[in-house]
Amino acid sequence: MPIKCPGEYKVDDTTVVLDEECFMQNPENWNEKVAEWMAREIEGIQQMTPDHWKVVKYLREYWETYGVCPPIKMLLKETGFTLEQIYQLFPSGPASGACKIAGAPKPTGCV
Amino acid sequence: MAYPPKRGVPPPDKLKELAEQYLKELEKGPWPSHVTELRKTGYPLHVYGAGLVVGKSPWAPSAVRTRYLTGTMARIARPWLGLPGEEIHLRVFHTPGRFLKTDWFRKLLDAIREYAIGLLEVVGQTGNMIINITKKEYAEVVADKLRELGTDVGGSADAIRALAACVGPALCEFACYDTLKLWCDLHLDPRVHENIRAPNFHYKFKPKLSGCPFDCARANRGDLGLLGTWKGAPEVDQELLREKVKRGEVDPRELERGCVSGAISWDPVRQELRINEKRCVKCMECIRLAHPAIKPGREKRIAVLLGGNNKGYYGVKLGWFVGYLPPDVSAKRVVDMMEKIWEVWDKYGMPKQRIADVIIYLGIQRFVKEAELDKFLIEMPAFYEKMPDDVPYRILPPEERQVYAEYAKKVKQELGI
Repeated sequence: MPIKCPGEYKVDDTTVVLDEECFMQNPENWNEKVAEWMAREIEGIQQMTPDHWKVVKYLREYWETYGVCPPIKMLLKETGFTLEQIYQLFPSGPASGACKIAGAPKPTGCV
Repeated sequence: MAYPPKRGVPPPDKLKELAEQYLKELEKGPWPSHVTELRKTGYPLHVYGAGLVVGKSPWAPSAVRTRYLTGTMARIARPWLGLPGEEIHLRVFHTPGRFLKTDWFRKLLDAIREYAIGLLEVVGQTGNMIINITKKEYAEVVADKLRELGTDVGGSADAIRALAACVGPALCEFACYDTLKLWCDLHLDPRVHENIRAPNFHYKFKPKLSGCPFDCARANRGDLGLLGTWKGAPEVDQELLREKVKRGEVDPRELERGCVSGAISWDPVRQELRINEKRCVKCMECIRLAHPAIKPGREKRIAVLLGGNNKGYYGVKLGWFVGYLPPDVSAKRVVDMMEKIWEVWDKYGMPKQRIADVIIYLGIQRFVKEAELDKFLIEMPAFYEKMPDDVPYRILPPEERQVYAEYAKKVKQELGI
């Protein structure tokens, strides 16, 4: 079943509300199952590798601490990936790919 | 500038009419008019005219979503203007020395003809080639087409900006090293390429390559300036100089007067020019007046200048001289050095601080030590330690203090004190 945005879905008893660009509107409900589901259904990433999790967990942690997504410079520095590698991991980019899977709302900054 | 003007904005139809009147006024007269020229292109002139009417900038900053994060800029008309309009430009890598092959340039024009508005900036302040396109959605399409041609978009935001090189040995007889080759080698290094396309720094980083102390690429004002120079005095061909003097092309008195450090002396009896190599500051004045009788010295080298800028946290600065590189230096060595500099900059700098701002509060001695520049450079000058701001004096390094102490002892002995 293809995902339609905006919409409301159930992933293992967790309700996920998506806005018109498929970003989560209830980020507090995020968990790893939801991340895997979003990666598979929205971004087309079939298998989340440790590299994927490294980026996603860093973004999630940063978002939970500061309430915003980090600048791209911090993301590259903290995870040690180059921009090219980030695009290989998340084909739609750090903002609309990685931040989406990390369950953060739509970023407004420079990611 | 974001707020609408206090006297109000006319309704869109009236505004468009007024804008047209203002633009027509700019087309009158016998002189060339920028409006007449811009009418031939797809530039959103009505927005420009509306800006003239309301007396405020009609443009607001916007963003373009592309794969890489630098090199694209967008401006949209302010919402209170009531007139839609947007102008997007891409910064495209230029060639060193601005040499363009005709067939390649034709291919470029063919590739962008469909999307561009008909304006192309080939020589400008940024150092990039600037392509204006009509819609934000085309940015990625155009960038992909450019990548097929072997160039790319990049060089804005907090990244490495366009590398600037003077025309060098291609057209200039003064060039002390091959600026164009070093430019190409640097551009082909993946580490440089990565940092051109992603904003990895606190602020911009501008490397500039100048072939000789005339400094056409303004290396003295770049964050990293590589300036071709030589060791010792300029090379003088006495025979040719005598001939030139006899023909009246060169006035030896003028050479003497022109030398800023007083290093030149003319011997009228033996008809010979002498240059004191210790006093020569390599200002190139004598070379300019008497080339090719006086030429840059034989032993060439590259002076490295660090931390010049125009826009920075603490204002305008000229670069610090930190040492020399050999003229046939490999790009790898330069990029290795750049990486070390970036590390220190990253560690101590804050957003919107250039390298020079970090040098100002760390002190040049500590910066050079932390960046380990002595691994890359030769013949570095002595750097003085930065004292706290409330200390109004300076302490010389121990070696230099030793030299002065010995000199004082010698003077005392001679005078018998």
